[in-house]
Amino acid sequence: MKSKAVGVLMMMMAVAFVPPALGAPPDEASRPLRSDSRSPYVHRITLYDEDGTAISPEDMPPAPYSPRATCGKCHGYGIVGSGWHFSAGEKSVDAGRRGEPWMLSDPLTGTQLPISARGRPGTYAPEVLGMTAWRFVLAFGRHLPGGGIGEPEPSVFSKMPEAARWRISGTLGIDCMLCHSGGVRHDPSEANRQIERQNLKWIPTVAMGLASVRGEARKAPDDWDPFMPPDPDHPERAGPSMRYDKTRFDADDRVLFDVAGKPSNARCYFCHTSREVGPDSPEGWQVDQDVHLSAGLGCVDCHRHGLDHAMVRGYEGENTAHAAPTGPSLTCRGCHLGDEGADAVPAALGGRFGAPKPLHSGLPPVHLDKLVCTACHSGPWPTGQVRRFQTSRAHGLGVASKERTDVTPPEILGPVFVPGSDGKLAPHYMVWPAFWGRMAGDEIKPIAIEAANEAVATALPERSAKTHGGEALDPEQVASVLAALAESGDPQAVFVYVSDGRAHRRDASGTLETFEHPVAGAYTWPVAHDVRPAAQSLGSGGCTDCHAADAPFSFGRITPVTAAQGQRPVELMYELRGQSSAMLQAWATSFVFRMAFKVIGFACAAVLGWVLLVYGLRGTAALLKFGR
Amino acid sequence: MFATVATISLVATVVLVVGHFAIFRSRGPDAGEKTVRRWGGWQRFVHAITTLCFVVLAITGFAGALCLGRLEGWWLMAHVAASLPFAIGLSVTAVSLADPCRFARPDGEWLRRGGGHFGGGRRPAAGRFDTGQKLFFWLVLVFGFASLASMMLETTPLFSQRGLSILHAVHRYSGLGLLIAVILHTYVTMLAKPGTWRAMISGQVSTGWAKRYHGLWQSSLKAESEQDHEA
Repeated sequence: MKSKAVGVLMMMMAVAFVPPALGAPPDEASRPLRSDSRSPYVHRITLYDEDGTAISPEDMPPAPYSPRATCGKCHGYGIVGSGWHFSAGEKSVDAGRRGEPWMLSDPLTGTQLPISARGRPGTYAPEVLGMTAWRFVLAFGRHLPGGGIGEPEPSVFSKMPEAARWRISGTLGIDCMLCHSGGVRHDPSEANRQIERQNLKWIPTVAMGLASVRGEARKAPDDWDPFMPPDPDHPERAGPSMRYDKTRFDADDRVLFDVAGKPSNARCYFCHTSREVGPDSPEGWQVDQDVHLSAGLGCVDCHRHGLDHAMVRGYEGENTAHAAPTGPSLTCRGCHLGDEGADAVPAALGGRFGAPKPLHSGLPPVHLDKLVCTACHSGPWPTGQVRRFQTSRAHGLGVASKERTDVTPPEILGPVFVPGSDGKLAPHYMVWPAFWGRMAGDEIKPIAIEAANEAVATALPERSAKTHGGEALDPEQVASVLAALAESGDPQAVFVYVSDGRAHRRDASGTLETFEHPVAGAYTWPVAHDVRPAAQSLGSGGCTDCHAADAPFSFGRITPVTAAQGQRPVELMYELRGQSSAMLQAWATSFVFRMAFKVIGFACAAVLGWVLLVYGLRGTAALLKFGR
Repeated sequence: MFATVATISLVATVVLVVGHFAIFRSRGPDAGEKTVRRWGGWQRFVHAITTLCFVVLAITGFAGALCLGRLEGWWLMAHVAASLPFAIGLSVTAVSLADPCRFARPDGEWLRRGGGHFGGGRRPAAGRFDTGQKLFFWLVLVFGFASLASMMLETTPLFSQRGLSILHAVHRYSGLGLLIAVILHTYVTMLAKPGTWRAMISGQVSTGWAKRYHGLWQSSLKAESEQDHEA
């Protein structure tokens, strides 16, 4: 008891490490003590459970620590929770430019669907697919930092269909240490295991290695009571039970949290890794990291935020009012070139972190108007055929798995050079949406994945019986599933299968009919990293890096990477941009004659200059003579 | 900025031309049966090619700057394609006409009397090229050189983005100067000196035209003819 009291006292006296740059404190009443030093505050702190009770490792039954109650004592949990990373399920937040969506991927039904609650064109809100907050958390929680959609208030989740499960599992609160862990104490893979077991509220505690958990909330009955003894007939229904590692607590029941005010790159990479896969893809050791990281910068040096965690995404045109006046200087252009129109010094001059100012000698200025910096400087070097990529969020990178292969869906292709949200060309990743949907009028909406699963199970029992690595459905299979869907529900409904840039439906005779539809269009999102060194930028080899008849920038092939995929409506990069092949070919061909053009042009300029010089001198001499 | 300057300049030029035509409308000389040769076939060919290319350059360049917002796509292709023959034509013209277009003592008188384009009785005597034509020639050379040289330098890796912006501005403004000069030249040859344009079609001008606008040249031709006759 005494130790608890000391802990509480120490906690109240705790000085929050909130560097001056991290924004204003929440409000006057709850303003925390601050160290205001660049020296990090040592977080030797008392843990609190969700009820705000100080935790002792001797407590029985022990309760998991709550970041809301523990970290939130000094760091305004509500303000933190308004941040970018915690608003993945929020419609009210400005979505900004296109970003990587959550990918609903189901190999059995041939589904790969970009999902985002942020309302980005080309993505689908979870509720459109009948995906509740609970299911969203289970599907994507492995790469959710908590909060937002994962942390509904009891008054809210009690009205949800999975209210009982929320009550048992608790909510997926913000796990501050997922990002702010200074070392490797926090294990995000462990967090993922607990997600699978639906042990949501235990995650921060277990991932930090402060305790171990036995039992799974997902197996506990809806009327589970943690204080009731386990059912001897069904011990698996006993629900989670936890035991603290007492060695992590000091004599006053405080725990040392190795908190990094600025998260390390390694923490960011858990959710933001991408890698190329395929037979010709480089091994991990052959790939260089972003040139900025090589130079010693960290992700958060540019992607900054205050206590509100309103992350600067760092693209041009971003609304960085919250980051004024330095926000604009945190883009490529802002940092390397500065903005002469800006009022404040960092933004006006650029050059932060010693960023070199590129001269771009000889590069026609139109390139800087029509291209985003990343077009030449970022992402994998483009080749004649787009390649296949995997990302943390789409493929669960960071989570150890024996099942993930190079062809594990979803199929993410890149780099493709298409206009971004600002109309400028930039490298992008791309997915072709594939889903079962219902057509009403001209509108196609996806159906719930369960309905698609049922139809596939009915129509293709042999497919359901085995594990699939993402084999595409052939036309016959598609027709069978569409028939099953038609028989399963409203006979008037028109069901479709969207894939490979087209939609497919059965006509009156039952034959599969393929047609174009906007929903079948590719969803793309920008490749921001890894930034390559200047020597490896597009154009370092001359204009023909892009302006050649076979330059991947315009003529890279987008058609099937794997033999299993069907034909797609566009084959080459420029077709995605809606550009004219003839014009691009003519332009590329003109570069064949560029040297001759230069020689003749300079010769003509020399002749004109010579005539002007000779006759100018003669005229001047005549004038001088006339003057005398 | 450039769009504004270009629009104002071009509108002002057109207003000036229309105003001059309204006030000082000129009647051409009586077309006599006798003609004299003013331009050879090669010269007319070079002029035609250069003119045609200039029209393409002006349309594509100023359409890009004033209407499209940016010169790109087929417009840019056409602009680039027309630039080289224009440069060659301009260079040939420069070499072949620089000497006869040197300023001489009678040019002072021509200038003092405004070339007779502003009324005032008889036109001042001029040689093969009057002072207005000489001015046009040298202006075209200066603007053409600036426009060409700036564009060619832009194709080298010698200049930073700031340098390239300056070069691009030089290219655009010299192009504007060139266009204004050509508009004035066209007006003079088509309307202010009626009958002039025929010279670039047939190579011939009437003796009346030669006597009226290029009296000294016509006299020298007459003298040469008499000498030949006597010989």
